[in-house]
Amino acid sequence: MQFHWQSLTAAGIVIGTLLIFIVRLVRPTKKSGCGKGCGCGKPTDSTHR
Amino acid sequence: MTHASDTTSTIALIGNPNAGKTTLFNALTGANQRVGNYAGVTVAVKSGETFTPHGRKLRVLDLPGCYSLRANSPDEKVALDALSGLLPGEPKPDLVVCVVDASNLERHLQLTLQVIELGLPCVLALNMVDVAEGMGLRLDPTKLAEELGIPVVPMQANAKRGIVELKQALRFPLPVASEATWANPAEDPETARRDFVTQLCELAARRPNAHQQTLSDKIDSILLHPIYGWLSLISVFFSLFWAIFSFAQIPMGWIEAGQSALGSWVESLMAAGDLRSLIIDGMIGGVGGVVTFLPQIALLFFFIGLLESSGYMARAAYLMDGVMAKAGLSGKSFLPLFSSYACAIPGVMATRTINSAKERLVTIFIAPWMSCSARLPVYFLIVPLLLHENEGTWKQALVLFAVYALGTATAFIVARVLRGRLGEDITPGHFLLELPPYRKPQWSYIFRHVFERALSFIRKAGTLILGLSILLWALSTYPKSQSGDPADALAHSAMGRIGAIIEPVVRPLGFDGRMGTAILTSFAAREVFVSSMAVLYRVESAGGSEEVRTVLRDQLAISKWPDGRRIFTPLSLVSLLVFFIYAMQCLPTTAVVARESGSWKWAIGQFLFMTSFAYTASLMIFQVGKLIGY
Repeated sequence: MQFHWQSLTAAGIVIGTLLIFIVRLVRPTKKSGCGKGCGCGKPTDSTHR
Repeated sequence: MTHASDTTSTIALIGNPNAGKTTLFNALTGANQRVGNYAGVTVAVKSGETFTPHGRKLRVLDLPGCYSLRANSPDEKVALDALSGLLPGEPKPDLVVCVVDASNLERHLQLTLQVIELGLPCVLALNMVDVAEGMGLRLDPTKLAEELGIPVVPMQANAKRGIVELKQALRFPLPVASEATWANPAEDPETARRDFVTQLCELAARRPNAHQQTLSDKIDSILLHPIYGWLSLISVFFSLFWAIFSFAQIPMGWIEAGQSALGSWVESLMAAGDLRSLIIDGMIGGVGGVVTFLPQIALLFFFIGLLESSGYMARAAYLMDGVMAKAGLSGKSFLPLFSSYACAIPGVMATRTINSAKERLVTIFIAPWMSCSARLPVYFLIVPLLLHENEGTWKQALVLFAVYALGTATAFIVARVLRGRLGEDITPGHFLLELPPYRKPQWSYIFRHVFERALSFIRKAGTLILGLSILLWALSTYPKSQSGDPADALAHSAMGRIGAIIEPVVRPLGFDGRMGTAILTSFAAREVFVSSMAVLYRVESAGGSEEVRTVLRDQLAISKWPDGRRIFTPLSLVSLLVFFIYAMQCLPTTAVVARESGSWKWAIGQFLFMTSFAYTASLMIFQVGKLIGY
């Protein structure tokens, strides 16, 4: 079975993206200031209740 | 107090709400924390660094605003804990900078006296001297310093005037603690403080004899009027929506044209194949579909910044107090709810200013129903589809206004029901609102804030949305079918199969399997809905003989059911709008709700309630609409 280079590259990009998502999902996350990427201001040095 | 030369001293900024602490904090540390001309903007301790004129590093803590050190609400308790050194991870401050509004010393100095009574070294930052002088107040900072026994620095933090002088006052050795000369064991402490402040103001902050009506008073006679005030409030918000739709059209056209040109350029460079399809349909289509709405989002934040900075927001809170009372809430809930229009996360955090635990819980529960900016790309996609393209932008603004009003009104009804079930507070709370004078907007802050929000939106589009668009493309492309028909290829793909499973659930709402799948993906982030639609509905244009790439909205307008009926009828679009108004599709918000309410049960209950409410509301709208012939 012969694959076209475009199919192989596209499959590589998809697999790479999937791996990034999986790694980010399982990696312990740092506490951010006010949610993750909600765009409500940059995280502060430290925030306390 | 002694300081080892190798340790960094800590300085805490404290003051009444809206005294300008965060503006001073930003000026000292170079940070860009959120500021606004109303009380309750800061609800958590923020820290940064600054340097004395001799290069010694100082750690600066920006504390939430408080009227006294009695700790009535969670944010006031945080301020008191910070001063007492009880905050985990933060040492007791070596010096306290009391930030006071020079135009309102009678009230602001009370807190300064309490800080001095704690035995903490103190510097008084006499902020907003420009406003005080504009009101005809004759300030004598030297006299104030003599009477209080602490350094006094006149300043205007928003113009960065007095910052150098304040840093001079913070040089080493730090000032020592002053004695509370007014304290008298035989007298009530509050009376003693009040008498001392009155005497101090007579000496060092003399007011003109006749009470003059300021410009703010004159403006307020209209904007706080029971009839004109409401008309003004509605006009302000309607104009805001109209301006968003009108002004954004030109830059949106540029982005759409750029996206189309980029797609055509890639098409001319590459032969047909999977990679070309991934780049054009997955990456450019998915990310471009969301980025198109950047101008509208930037405009929304610009106008919110303008309202916050001018002082109008406090007036809106005053007008809304009566409405909030009918919903079982107080004006204190208004500002957290208003913050939620930008993003529910800071809105939920801002509920810390609410004293009543029950009211706070109810406000947290309804906050995600205030339409946040993540919903905007979805609204901006659907609203123009509802109306003919030649209809005026004011009609689109009217629909968007109705969308916001529906979410807010439903939230208030639910709050009323929930508040009734939770019961009355044991101690009745009081809503005290300070109406600050109207001020010129802080343009540099507003533009920096808009830039940061725009950057955050682009970052999200370039990371999460790009990644999900790539995966969605793969799901809608593989496994491949032998058929050359794009509709058959999509039906054969993993996404087509998922859509076939979902379709029976969403069909009663007027949606096909692709819309159902797009809704499912939007639970990761609401904006992903637009990317998913761009990827899933590409089949319509790709299948046609014409090579011209149309924008997503046009693709949706021509989408049909297998029997030839249009998918996006006005009724199905209204049903979709209603679903997005009510559904809880933000995992970070659920996590913050769990943290702030102290209960995962509450957060999960909120998620289940809001999502089932959204489904039921959409179902009713579509089915009733069909029954009556729409």
